[in-house]
Amino acid sequence: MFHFIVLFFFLFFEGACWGQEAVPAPPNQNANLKIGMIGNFIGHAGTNIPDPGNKFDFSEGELNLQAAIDPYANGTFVVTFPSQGSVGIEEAYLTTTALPWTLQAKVGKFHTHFGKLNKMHRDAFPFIDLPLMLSHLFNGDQWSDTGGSLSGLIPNRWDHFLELDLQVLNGNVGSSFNNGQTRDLAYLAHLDSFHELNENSALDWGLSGANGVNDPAGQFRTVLEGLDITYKWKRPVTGTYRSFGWITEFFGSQKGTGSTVVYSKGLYSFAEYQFAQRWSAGGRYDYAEQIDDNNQFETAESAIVTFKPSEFQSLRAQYKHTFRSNSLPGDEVLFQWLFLIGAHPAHAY
Amino acid sequence: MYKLFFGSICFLFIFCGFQNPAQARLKVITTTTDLAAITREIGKDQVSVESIAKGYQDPHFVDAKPVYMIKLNQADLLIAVGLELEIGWLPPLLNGARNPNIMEGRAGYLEAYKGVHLLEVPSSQVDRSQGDVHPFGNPHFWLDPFNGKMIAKNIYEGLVQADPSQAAYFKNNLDQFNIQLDKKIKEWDQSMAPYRGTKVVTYHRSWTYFANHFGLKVIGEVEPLPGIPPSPSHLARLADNMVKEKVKVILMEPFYSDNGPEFLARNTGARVVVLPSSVGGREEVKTYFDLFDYDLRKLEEILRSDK
Repeated sequence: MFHFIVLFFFLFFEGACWGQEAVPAPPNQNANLKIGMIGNFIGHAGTNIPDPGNKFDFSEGELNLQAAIDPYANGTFVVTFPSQGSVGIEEAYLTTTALPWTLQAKVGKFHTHFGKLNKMHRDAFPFIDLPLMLSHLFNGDQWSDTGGSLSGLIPNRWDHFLELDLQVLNGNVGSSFNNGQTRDLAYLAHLDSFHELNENSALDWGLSGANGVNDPAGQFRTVLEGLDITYKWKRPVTGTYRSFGWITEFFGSQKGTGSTVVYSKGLYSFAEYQFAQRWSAGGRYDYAEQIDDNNQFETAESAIVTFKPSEFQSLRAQYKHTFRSNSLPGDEVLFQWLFLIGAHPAHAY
Repeated sequence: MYKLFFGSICFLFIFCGFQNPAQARLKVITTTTDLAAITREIGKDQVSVESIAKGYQDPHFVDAKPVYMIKLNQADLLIAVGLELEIGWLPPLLNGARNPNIMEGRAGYLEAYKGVHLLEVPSSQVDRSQGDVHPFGNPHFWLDPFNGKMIAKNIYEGLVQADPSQAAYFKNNLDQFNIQLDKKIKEWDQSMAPYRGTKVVTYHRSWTYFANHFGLKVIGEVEPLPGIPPSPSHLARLADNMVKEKVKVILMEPFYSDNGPEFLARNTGARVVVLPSSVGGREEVKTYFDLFDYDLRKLEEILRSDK
């Protein structure tokens, strides 16, 4: 751990010294603070459904603050106001902008780079709920954790986008990682590769691996693997009206529990077609084994319709049928009205 | 795990040593094809230029593909339109590019609107209830050929800053470009002189500068508000107004749906003219001069036949 910290600060210091000359401060430095707020209203009804069932829920309000800290780094804060529970910091991190060799460091609390969806905010999800396997792996939520990240673009003769991201995290997310009071940290690596197949379509794939302890005594470890594949089709000339996207993620978990290791796996696969400027429809399939008992599993099929009056508002309906190996199947209907005010950072591809 | 982690970092650093050797020519990335076309006129064989948006693509909505991050990572100079035209896609590309030289405010980042006389700059506070209004002014300024001279001057200054050793070469190219543009502007103005005062409807507020230069009068847009698709009631009101104002031409870009314009055409007798608003919007439109040659020729054909 000590080596990592030394390396981390060496790189940061080096970037600060070797980076470009400082730019003169603009006359109004506070003007570049971007403030935005996201509201996520959800309606939920059905039979044999998880909590909160058969009710409306203002799922959360999310305050986003972003600004350049200085010529060497940007700062981001995401504060959540959930309908139940107390106000919390979902993300708060610094990202460097001036390290050499295409390196980028991030420190603070952030959505970890485990796969594709885990890194995204809920407002960028193309469906309402979290896929089952992600929910199993990270205690019903995404893996947001405190630590550091160092990523870099790997040069190659084809000029492909190839990024390696290495993260060291506290590893406190309940079901998969739970380091309690031990000094053991969780480690995560993600490799991302993007290929532009032609002008209209692109393929992005990523590999993830994570390792950390899963009990407060630090005796047992969990190893996670992930493969994410995203395909997008959109003709530039008709892109406002027609597009297609497909995303699939496979997950594997090996969780040490006493004398045995529980091997579990899961996936979700989602495809969506945009058939008009404001309308799109899609479907998702989920398969997820319980990470503590792989004899128990769930499958789910969802149909989703989205209407976007503008870039800053979306209405979404989702029907989901869930089969459970150990209990009654569930049928649920979800409705979401998502809205954004103020500044909103553009979503990554 | 520690060994794997540090091994991976070493692997990354070793790999970083095999960077492609730097090319002698200045690498310029532009956000739009029009800026790329003018940069080619000024930089000629001393620059390699590539545009992120295609000429037949709506420049407001471009996918922030990671492949562009690689191009930006290797760029010496980034030239953007500015005025928040690219706000929906350029910031994530810049963040992912990890090239501090071309970040906003740095020497390698240039916005082409500097010095241009901007139109439709809101005089009061704007918000999103007014649609996708650009709070600093209409960003489609390259469609006034006179503004091409200011854009060229900005690009010239950016190129000189990036490579002072070629200043005289770039200056000579700038002078040549301005001479040719002055000559063409005279020709274009002459060809459109009989049609000054002609009333038109446009799909989006992208033809404001074009109409202003050539004396066309825009009496409405197919979009009820910028960026908002047309509703039946808006189209019906617009059709009534077009009949009253005797509008014979609806201007639109290739990347918009022609459903609304065709509805208006059927109900008013006006004709829909699909014109590229950027270089590359049609195969034969390869330069900034081609853009106006093509658009004005098409427009003149329609207007002449309606006389």
